[in-house]
Amino acid sequence: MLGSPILLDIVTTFHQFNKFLGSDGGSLLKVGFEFLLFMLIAYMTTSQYLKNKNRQIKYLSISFLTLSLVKGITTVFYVGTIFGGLPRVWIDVIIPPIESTFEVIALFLLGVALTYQLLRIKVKNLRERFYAACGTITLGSCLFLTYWIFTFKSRPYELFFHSPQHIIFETVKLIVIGTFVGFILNNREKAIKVEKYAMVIVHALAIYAIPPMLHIINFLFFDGTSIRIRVLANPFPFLAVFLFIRYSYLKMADKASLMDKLDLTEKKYKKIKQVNRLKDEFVSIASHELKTPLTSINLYTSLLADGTLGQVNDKQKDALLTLKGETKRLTNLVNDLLDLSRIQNRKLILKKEAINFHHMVEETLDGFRAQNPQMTISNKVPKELQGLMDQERIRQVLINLVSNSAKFTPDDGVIEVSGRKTARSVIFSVKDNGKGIPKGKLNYLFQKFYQVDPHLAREEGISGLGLGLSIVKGIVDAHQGEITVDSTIDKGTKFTIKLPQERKDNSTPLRSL
Amino acid sequence: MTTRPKLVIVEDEKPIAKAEELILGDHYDVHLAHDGEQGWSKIVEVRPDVVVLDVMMPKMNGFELCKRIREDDRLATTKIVMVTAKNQDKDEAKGMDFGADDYIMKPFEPVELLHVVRQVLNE
Repeated sequence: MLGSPILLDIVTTFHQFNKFLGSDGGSLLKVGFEFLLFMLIAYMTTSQYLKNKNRQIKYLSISFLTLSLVKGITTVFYVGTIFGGLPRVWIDVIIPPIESTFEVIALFLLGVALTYQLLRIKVKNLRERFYAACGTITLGSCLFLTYWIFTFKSRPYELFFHSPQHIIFETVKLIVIGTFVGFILNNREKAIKVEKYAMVIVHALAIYAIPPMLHIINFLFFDGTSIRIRVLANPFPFLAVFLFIRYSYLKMADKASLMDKLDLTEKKYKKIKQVNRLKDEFVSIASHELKTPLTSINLYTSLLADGTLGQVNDKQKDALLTLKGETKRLTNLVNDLLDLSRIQNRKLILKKEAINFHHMVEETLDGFRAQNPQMTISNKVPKELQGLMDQERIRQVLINLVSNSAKFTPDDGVIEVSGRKTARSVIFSVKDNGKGIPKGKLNYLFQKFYQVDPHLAREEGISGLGLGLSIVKGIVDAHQGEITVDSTIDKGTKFTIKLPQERKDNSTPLRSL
Repeated sequence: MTTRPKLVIVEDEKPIAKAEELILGDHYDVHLAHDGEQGWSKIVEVRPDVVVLDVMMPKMNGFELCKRIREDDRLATTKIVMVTAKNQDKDEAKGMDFGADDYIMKPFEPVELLHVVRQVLNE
C-alpha cells in the first residue's frame, strides 16, 4: 500500500511543490497571495472604520494596511528580480529586514487592537506597562533596522535569510505574537465577553507564529541550512491570513444579522405605538360618548326635579331623585372604567402639589358623615400635616377606601383616618371595625373586578364593578408609593398607604412599549 | 332698566345646549350655536359678556375658539367658561393656557353651571 505508485506520485508532487515554494517563484507566489489577502482584510476593516470611527477598528485597519503595503512592495521587487532583471541584492538583503520590521509593527498594532478593549478593563498601570514593553520592542526593531541598513554596505554580500539578523527579527515577531496570544488566553473569559471571536484571532495569531518558530529552530539546530524546515514554514502564513479573513467575515455577518434584528424591532415598535395611540383615542372617544348622554339625562332630571319645567308632586319628585341617583351611579362606573383604562396604559398624569392633608381628609369625610349619621367617622390626622401629592387622585383613594369601609361596617361602627410624616414620606391609614377580609383573599384584593363576596355584596345592595381597589392601587403606584392591608374577621380592616415625598419626575406618564 | 348680561352657548349636543339655555335663560340673554364656526360668528355678532364653550366640537374645537376669542381685542371683556368631559386631566390646564376663565366638568348639576357663570361675571 505504501509503495503504491499513486501514493508515490502524490508525495513526489507535494515535495516538488514544496521545493517550488522555497524558490524565488514560490516566494513570489506566497508574497503575492499574502498581499492580496491582506488587501482584502484591509479594505474590509477600513470601510468599517469609515462607517463608525471605532478606535479598535482603526488599529486593525492600520495594521492590515501596513501589512498590505509591505507585502505589495516585496511583490513588486520579486517581480522585478524574476522578470525584470533587478539585482538580487534587493530581495536577498535589503527588502527582507524592511519587510520584517513593518511586519513586527503591524503585528504590534494588531495586538493592540485586539487587546485594546481588554486592557481598558484592566488596571491602568498594567496597560501602560504593557504598551511600554511592546512599544520598546517595536522601537528597538526599527533602530536595529536602521543600523542594519547603514552597516550592510561594509559587510560582505550575505543572504538575509542565512543571517543572524533574520533570526533576531523572527524572535522579535515571536515575542510580540506570543505576548498577545498569552495575554488573550490569560484573560480568556473577558476576551470572549468583549470580542465574540477572540479565539479565532488567537488561532490566526498562533498559526502566524509558527514560521518564526521554525526559522529559529532551523537556526539553532541546523545552522539555518535545513531547506525542509524552511519550506515547511510556507503554508502557515496562508492559513493565518485565511483565519483573519474568516474573522472579518464573521464580524460582518454578525453586523448584518444585528441590522436585521434592529429592523424587525423597529417595525414591532411602530406597530405597538400605533396600537397605543388607538387605545388613547378609544379612551378619549369613550369618555366623550358615554358622558355626553349622561350629562343630558342628569340635566333634564335635575331641571324636572327642581320644578323649573313645571310643578311636580312629591311622588314625581321622589321618582326623579331616584333617577338622579341611578345616573350618578352610572357616571361613577364610567369614570372608574376610564380611570382604570388610563392606569393600565400608564397614562395617568399626576399633578403633585403640597397640600394640607388634614384639611383634605376633613372635607372628604364630611360627605360620608352626612350619609352615615350614626357612624363615628373620625379624622385623626395632625392638623399641620402637609404632603406632596395629587390632591384629586388621593381624594379619590380616600373616597374609595372610606366608602368600602362604610359598606362593610355596621351602621353604628367606627371609621378612622390617621396620618403621620416620616423623613421621606407621608403615611396614612383608613381603619374600620367592620366585617374584615379573610386572610386568603387579601392577595387578590387589588385585582380588578375582584369582590370579596359578590353574592353578599349583591344581597346587601352593595354594588360596583369591583374596580375601586385596583384604581386605588394604580394611583398609589403612580405616586411610587406602597399600600398594605391588615384585616381580621369581624374585628376590622386597616389600609395603610405610604407616599414618598421626594419630588421625582413623575409628572410625565410612563409610556409602555 | 338694567340689561341682562349677554351669553353665548357653543355646544354641539342639542339636548345639552337646550338644557343649558333652560338653566341660564332666566338670568341672562342666551344665544345658541352648535359648532365652532357658527359659535365664532355668533360671538362676534352678539359681543357677549360670557361664553360657555364645549371642548369637543366639529369645525373648530373649544380650545381653538377660546384662543380666537382671546386674540380678538373687541372681545377683551368676554369671560370664557369651558365645559370638559374630564377625559384627560390636562384638559383643565390646557383650557387655562388658552385663556379660559373657568371650567366645569361633565356631568354637572344645573346649580353648578349657574354658580360658575355667576362667579366668572362677578370677578
